[in-house]
Amino acid sequence: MTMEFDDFYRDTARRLARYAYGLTGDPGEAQDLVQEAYARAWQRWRRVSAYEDPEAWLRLVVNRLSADRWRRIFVRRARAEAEPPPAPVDPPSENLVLLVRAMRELPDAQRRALALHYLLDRSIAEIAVETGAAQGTVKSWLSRGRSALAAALGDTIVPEGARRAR
Amino acid sequence: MPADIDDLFAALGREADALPLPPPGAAIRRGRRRNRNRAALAASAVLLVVLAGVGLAVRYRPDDRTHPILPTTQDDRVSGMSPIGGPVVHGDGNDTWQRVIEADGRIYGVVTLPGGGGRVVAVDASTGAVLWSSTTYERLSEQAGLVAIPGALLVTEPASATERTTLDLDADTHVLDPETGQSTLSVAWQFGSRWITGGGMLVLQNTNGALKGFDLDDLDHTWRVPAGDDTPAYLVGTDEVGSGDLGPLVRITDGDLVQVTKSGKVRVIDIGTGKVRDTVATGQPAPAAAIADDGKLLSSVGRTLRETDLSGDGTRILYTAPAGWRTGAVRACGDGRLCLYQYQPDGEHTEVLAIDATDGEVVWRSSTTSQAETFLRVRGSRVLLGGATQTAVYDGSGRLLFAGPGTADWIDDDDVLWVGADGSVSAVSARDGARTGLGTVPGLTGDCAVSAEVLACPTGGTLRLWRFTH
Repeated sequence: MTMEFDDFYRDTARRLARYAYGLTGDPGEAQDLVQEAYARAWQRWRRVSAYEDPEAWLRLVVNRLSADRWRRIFVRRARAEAEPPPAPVDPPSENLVLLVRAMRELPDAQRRALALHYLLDRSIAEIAVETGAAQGTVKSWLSRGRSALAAALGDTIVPEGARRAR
Repeated sequence: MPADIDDLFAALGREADALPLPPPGAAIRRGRRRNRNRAALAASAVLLVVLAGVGLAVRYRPDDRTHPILPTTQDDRVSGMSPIGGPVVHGDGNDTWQRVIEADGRIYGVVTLPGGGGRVVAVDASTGAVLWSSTTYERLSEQAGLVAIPGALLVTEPASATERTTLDLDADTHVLDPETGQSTLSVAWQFGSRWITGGGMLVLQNTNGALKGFDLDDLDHTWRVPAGDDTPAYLVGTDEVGSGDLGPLVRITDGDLVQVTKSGKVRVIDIGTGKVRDTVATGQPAPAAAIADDGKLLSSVGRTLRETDLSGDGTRILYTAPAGWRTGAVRACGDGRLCLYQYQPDGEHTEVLAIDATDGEVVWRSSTTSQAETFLRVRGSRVLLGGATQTAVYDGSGRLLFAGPGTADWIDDDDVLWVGADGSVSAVSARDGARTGLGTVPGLTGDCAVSAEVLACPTGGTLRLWRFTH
């Protein structure tokens, strides 16, 4: 079981970190969420490993944890008590700070759709399957999310045209 | 020069790719640690449902809505069970096994002695070997309360030896070290007191609303919050565990301690220190049922389900039941949904329903013949609604998969254990409602305990254990 889990972790952890970072915009929190999600996967590995898409399960866990203020606090507290702090990272560039700040202001659904689309290269159809929403809804999330980012970033960003339609 | 949104996200991705990640062993260690804590908490959660002398210890688990249930590539439903060792006997065989619970790979049981009183016994769930037997508690009977919380076992006996059959009595709760069975603390409490645990703390709310917190790792560390003029009426957790006839329900919290006073004020208290973090006025009477979820207090008041933002952004009515109905327990059930039941006070009709957590719109609703509902348990978006006469399983779209007399509880995300009044045991698939007979446990003398791996049942002078097969 441990070997199988190890392989799964090595294959997928980097992508999950991208997703968590996109949702939270916080390196420490993203690291926390990734570790927490894999810890929970390990706890129920027999079941999770039988899922058609175990990685989607991890993303859902990260999604829910990131949206849950209380659990986030709890996770951080538990981590702080039991584990050394994660390795420090360099501060992001100014543009990324602006992007992250703008992402944080978006509704959860839009932020999730943008993270899946831009950071994990998921198509609209794939996002629709993962979120259980209609493709039209996903298009709307992406469109609104991009518009909100453009408005928040102002001159920092090129106006959005018809992009990456897939 | 303005950046392209693709470029910005590409840069964000590169930042993410540079995040240091520990090896998988770190997640495994965290998972093991959580197993130790959560299993102790979850598998011990017992709400008694008595059915003509046969029962199943129905467990409440901490809210696990964070863990979705997805399509699987294999069908590994529970298909049978095989005995673990032989019948477990305590003493010379004349001691009687009563209530049993499972926690952290162990079965904890109360055995009563022929001369009166009883003991708590720990058994290795994988082998059936007795690990320890506690000292004798003179007033411990078949009504004993037994609860496992992270780091402790709570065993409750009446304060006096006078035979009572109702809950209106005073009691002593003994805190036992689950590793040794040694008692580390004894606390006297009165009917109407409330317990809550979380963050390594055990907190008692007295009938006058005063709080006393005990640090389970350092019992010299305690805190007190005196009673105020506005008496706390409700202690809110994310879930609760029960402890049999005698014992109180123990609320569970993974965050702060939340009190609702009789006037409707909500106090948010740091469970580690007793310091009041916040006070929020809700303008509503104390609820009949409430849970804390995602920084919000969800409370059933009359025929309404109300949501109070604990950061102080006010209270709103999320859902209103039809006239003549009342709302009951509520649980988070799946992504962005809440499940609750509503009932007519005369007991004629009960409905279980799922609503959208943001706008209260009803997603699905189903009538149930179950009356006097006592528990609502969810796994993902699936619902188990149990009552005194029957229990029902619903899928995530509200389709009734199975209903019948008996008591039931989740084995795992896909399987429900059913115990009939005749001791018949079966597994019901939460995917399609198919029922698989597992056998019969004759002569039950108390509640069985169930986990994802093991079923343990007291049968008079013996404790019997089985392992589920898939």
